[in-house]
Amino acid sequence: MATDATLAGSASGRQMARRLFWLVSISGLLAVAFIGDILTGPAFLNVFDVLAALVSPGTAEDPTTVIIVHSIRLPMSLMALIVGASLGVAGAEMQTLLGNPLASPYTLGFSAAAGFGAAITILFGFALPVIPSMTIPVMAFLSAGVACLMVYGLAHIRGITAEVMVLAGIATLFLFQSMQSLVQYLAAPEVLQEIVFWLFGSMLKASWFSVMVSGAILLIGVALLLPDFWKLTALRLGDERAASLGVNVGALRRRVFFVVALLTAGAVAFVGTIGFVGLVAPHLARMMVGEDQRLLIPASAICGGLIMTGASIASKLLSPGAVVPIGIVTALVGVPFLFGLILTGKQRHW
Amino acid sequence: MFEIKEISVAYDGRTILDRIGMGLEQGTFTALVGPNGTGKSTLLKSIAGLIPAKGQAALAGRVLNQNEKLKTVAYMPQDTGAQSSLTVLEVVLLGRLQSLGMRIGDDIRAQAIAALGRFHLEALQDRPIGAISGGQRQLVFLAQSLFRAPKVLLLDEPTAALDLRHQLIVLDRIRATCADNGMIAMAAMHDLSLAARFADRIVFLNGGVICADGAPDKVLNPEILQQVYGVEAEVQQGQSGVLHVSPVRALQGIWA
Ligand SMILES: Nc1ncnc2c1ncn2[C@@H]1O[C@H](COP(=O)(O)OP(=O)(O)OP(=O)(O)O)[C@@H](O)[C@H]1O
Ligand SMILES: [Mg+2]
Repeated sequence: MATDATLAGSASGRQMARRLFWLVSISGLLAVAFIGDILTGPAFLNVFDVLAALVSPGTAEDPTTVIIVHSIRLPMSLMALIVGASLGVAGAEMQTLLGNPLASPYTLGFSAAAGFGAAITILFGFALPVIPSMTIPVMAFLSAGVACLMVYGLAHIRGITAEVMVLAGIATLFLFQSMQSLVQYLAAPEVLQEIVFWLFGSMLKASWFSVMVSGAILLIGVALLLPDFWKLTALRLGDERAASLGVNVGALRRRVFFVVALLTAGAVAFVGTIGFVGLVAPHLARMMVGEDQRLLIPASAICGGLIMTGASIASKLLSPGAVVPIGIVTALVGVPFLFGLILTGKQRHW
Repeated sequence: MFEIKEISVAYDGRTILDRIGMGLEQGTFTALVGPNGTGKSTLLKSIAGLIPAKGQAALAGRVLNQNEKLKTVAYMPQDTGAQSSLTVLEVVLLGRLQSLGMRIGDDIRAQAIAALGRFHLEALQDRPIGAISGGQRQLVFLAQSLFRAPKVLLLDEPTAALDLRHQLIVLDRIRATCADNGMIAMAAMHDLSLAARFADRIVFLNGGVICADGAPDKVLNPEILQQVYGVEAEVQQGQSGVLHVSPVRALQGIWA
């Protein structure tokens, strides 16, 4: 993140100061929520023991607490953060690419494809040779890759415009959704339950390995977007204006499309599909910091992380002793946020 | 000297432009005029490399490739719509998006604000571009184009949304930039009196070809206006020596 002084160049001083204030505030809120997320869980641990286990695991009194915090809670909380941030960034760029406020990382069928990959793996119960425990994530990721290539292929033939991408994406979405339904229809009841549980999306599937892989994908994705920040900002003026400013719009769409697919697949492959975050986080971010991608992308990541972390806390508090799948509660947490901003916000343009 | 050679464009097999060629002198301002749908926007876009076209553009004798076209030739679109919450200042800054990095220097920012200042728009700098008037938006995009400081500036009906005073301010500004910085400008226009007053040269486009081309007092006459637009029009010299075109009536016949 750049400092205040360097960013103050984008708009007049006061407006930039207000936007930076928002960015700092939500970062602080996220830090607090993250700690809160680690403190809550079905095992009713003592708050001070948990904090002690976090800060100095070597000297903590209770070894069980240390184990629970380090091998269960920390990876779950980090995964929630990473998935939320990835979906937030992917959603912001999908809305930019398609020029449509209703677009989300799922609009073009990547997550339906990931779900199909997972479902068919569960149905046939096969396992990869070297890494059997990673079979479902790998298959989900590959399946999302196939969807990405399908949309890309169609758009490539017909011209990479927003309209063509949406049409090709929606066709892909329906194809994978119906194949996923077919798998569910064919599955025996126990298998079906397992498939449905995967599709809900839950942080219980998180591990240190998933944290590292998804985290690396998030970092790589954002790094790939960095050089195109200004071009993407210009795309918000429409294709013709962006092109007249010297942007090769087709090449930009192509590049960013692959990054969005990567981020989305990285987010859903391990933990399952989690709705709403990728749609709403970018809107929250846009209302707070505007369209300048230097601020919009970090803010979308933070808002996504915040919604997921809030949802993670809620999913543990809703039914004591159990964890409700987080995919079910993301909307419950995100909607009040959104309503608040719609009611207080002034801007009419998305 | 900026030269375009043999530019041809066809939409769905229908020829819109047929081997258009002309040379534009450094520091001059040319008005491109002609009836609706005759291909003015198409010509400007094809010169800027924004739509596929046959033909070439060359600056100082060197033929520009696609990338060089996008860099040296700036096109300002006709449509002034923008449904974005980008701020006015951000829109102007995007004029130099090729050289913007993660940090924006105070000097660049000051120049962008100065570009807005030429059209008295500093007060709007933090407003969303979608939440100002159509004419104000056109001025903002003009400020963006001038801030970009291109070698060749192609403007598509730059004064269409502007009031009388702003029409004069804008065209004055463009002509001054040409004279001071050696910029080459060409603007598609419909107001022939304004073209006569500000342009060094008027190019009439009709039926896919150039049908008249020259200094305003050479080409602005009732015969050409009848031939190109199908109107009866009077061309008079005003007190300041500038030509005025007053359309009288539309003629019936092949133009209808
Ligand atoms: N994208 C397109 N596809 C097909 N035909 C087009 C397209 N854009 C323009 N045309 C056609 O090409 C011709 C030239 O259009 P153009 O926009 O260049 O006219 P113009 O001279 O700028 O007109 P105006 O004065 O109304 O702006 C018109 O007949 C128009 O119908
Ligand atoms: Mg036009």
